[in-house]
Amino acid sequence: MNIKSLIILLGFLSWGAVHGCATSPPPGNMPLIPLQQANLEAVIEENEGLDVNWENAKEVRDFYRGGVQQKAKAERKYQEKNYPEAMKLYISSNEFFSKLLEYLDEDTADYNLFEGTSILFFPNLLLADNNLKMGRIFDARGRKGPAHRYWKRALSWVKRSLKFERTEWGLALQDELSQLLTPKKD
Amino acid sequence: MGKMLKWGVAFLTALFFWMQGSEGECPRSWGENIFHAYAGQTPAPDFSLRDLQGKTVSLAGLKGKVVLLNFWATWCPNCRKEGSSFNTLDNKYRSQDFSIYRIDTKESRETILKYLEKESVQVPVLLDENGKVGRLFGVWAHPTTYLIDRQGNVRYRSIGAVDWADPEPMRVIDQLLQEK
Repeated sequence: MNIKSLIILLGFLSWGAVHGCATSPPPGNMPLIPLQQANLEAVIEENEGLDVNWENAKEVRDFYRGGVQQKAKAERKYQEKNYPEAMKLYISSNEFFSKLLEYLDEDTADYNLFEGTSILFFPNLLLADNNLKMGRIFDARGRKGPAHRYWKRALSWVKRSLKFERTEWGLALQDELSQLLTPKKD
Repeated sequence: MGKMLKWGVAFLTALFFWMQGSEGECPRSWGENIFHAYAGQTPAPDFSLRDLQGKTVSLAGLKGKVVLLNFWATWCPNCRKEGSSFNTLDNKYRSQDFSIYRIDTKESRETILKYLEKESVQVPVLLDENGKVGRLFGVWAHPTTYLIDRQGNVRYRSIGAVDWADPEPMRVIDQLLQEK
């Protein structure tokens, strides 16, 4: 092997080392993940237990778990119509997910933790759901502008999620957001 | 020109090996082999599991003791690596308010007993057959170890193999044992 060939080979291998784990394009015909399999309740249930607060989140998985746990609390406040508390918790949940997405950005219904154990992993979709509900809180207060901004953001997160995993859950959120963002005819 | 080529080869070789070691866009495995201290009070979730003899052990029943929970499996090389060092801990702290449990994830009693024939680790093993307890603690890698204080709060976590015969983990355990 001459020296030029060696340079080309090393350059190629270095490029491969950088890009070897990069996001690969999703397959053309992704199967539809049913709502019974991937849904908010199931995600929340998988992440119940030892609390993760911001100070104690050190690993990628901690940030996911922390985000889901904050969301679970936010959902309870939202159901109780305690909107100020719900908003705080949705924002906190979004902070966890945003940090996580710096490292892992693919939604999947089959995130392998270790041999024989996988979890639902939907940071993009959970961000979308948070933003949908934050928009609804603003809408309930008659603040259409911020509501629309949250819904637009939510729609972009849903689209991102659906790019990685085609879920009934995601498609339902997409429909709901599209309707909310469609100008109403008076 | 020849000198430039040599420098080029040296640079690309260094770049190649550096990139092999870096994580690029791969999922990051942060903090292997670290001992992470928990801030604030983080109550450990309670559980009940059977040991290899069929006796039920609950975390609530261990309150008042310092507890080390090690999540492991026989297929995990790093778990095998650290396994024997638990004997040193067990021998040192057996007479104190300290309990060690190795919680096996999703394996049968038979598989574990067969494995323990080859490697003699004397600390008790609990069977988390459906992985529920691991999920409650948020375990996502093996081995993962939690140190729980006398009040039942998670105080430390380590991910990856630890030499438990080393002075550092013993210092942390001593500190927890000194607390009321």
